[in-house]
Amino acid sequence: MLEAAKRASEAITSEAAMGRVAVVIALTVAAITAATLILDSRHERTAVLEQVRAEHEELIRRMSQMEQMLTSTVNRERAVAPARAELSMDAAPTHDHSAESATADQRAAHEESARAGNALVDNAITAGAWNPSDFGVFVSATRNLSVQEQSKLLERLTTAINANRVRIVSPLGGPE
Amino acid sequence: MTRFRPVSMVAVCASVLILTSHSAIAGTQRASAVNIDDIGMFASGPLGSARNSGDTRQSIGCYTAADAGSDSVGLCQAVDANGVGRQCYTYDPQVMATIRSLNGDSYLLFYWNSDGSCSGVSVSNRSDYQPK
Repeated sequence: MLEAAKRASEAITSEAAMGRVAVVIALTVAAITAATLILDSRHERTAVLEQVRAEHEELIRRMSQMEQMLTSTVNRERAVAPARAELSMDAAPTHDHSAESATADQRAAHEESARAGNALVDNAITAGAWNPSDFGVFVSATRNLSVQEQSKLLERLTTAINANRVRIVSPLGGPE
Repeated sequence: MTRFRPVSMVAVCASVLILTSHSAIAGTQRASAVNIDDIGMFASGPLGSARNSGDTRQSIGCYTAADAGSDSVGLCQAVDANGVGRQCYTYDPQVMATIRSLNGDSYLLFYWNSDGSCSGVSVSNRSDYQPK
């Protein structure tokens, strides 16, 4: 009887010990899993940060390239800027910085072109008539002007024609 | 009852044949005048019809010019039967290319902006426009 009670007591003690071992193992596994997850999360964050940093550096590199290209383009534009001063609203010959850096001959040619172009347009508006054959004369006379300056002159002439203030006469000189 | 004689029948058939064959040989023909629309800000017309018009006013066409080292410039003009003239100018390379496709038998349509520049040019080269 005593022997049976002793065996039963040992069995109970053994089961309790096994239960404790199981709890310890479970806690250990949970701790390892949690640690692994934390480490993974840190690794991922680090990888994302690395990627963002790389993209940022690439962006800065491209912006720097664009800035260099823009600077180069602006410098080239300045270097080749013709000695063509912008005409004022009434298309009178004027000077600007590019014209000032041009040679005296270029300035004289520019002023002569502006004067001749203005004279052609003024004459047409005063006479109220424009002969299309004068177009070739106009282009030749204004060859030292910029497109913007020529456009201002053509704008004055064309708006006068389209407002019926200047007639287009027959190129052949016949009645129109 | 009236009876058609064979000779009359032949004459009628011949007349029909001649009339129909004329239109078949000629094809479609258009002879419109130079048109100016100030509201739409455009002018149009066939070069051939303008030249062959009964009046001495109508004309339509474009000029292109370039001086060495400078940009090409184009000028399109139209004068209608009343002597009303409109024009536009352009430095646009694409518009210039269209203007250069113009020939003596083309139909020209051009639009202008309020500053006188061309907002568009259209050239049609078709068989039904009257040749110069």
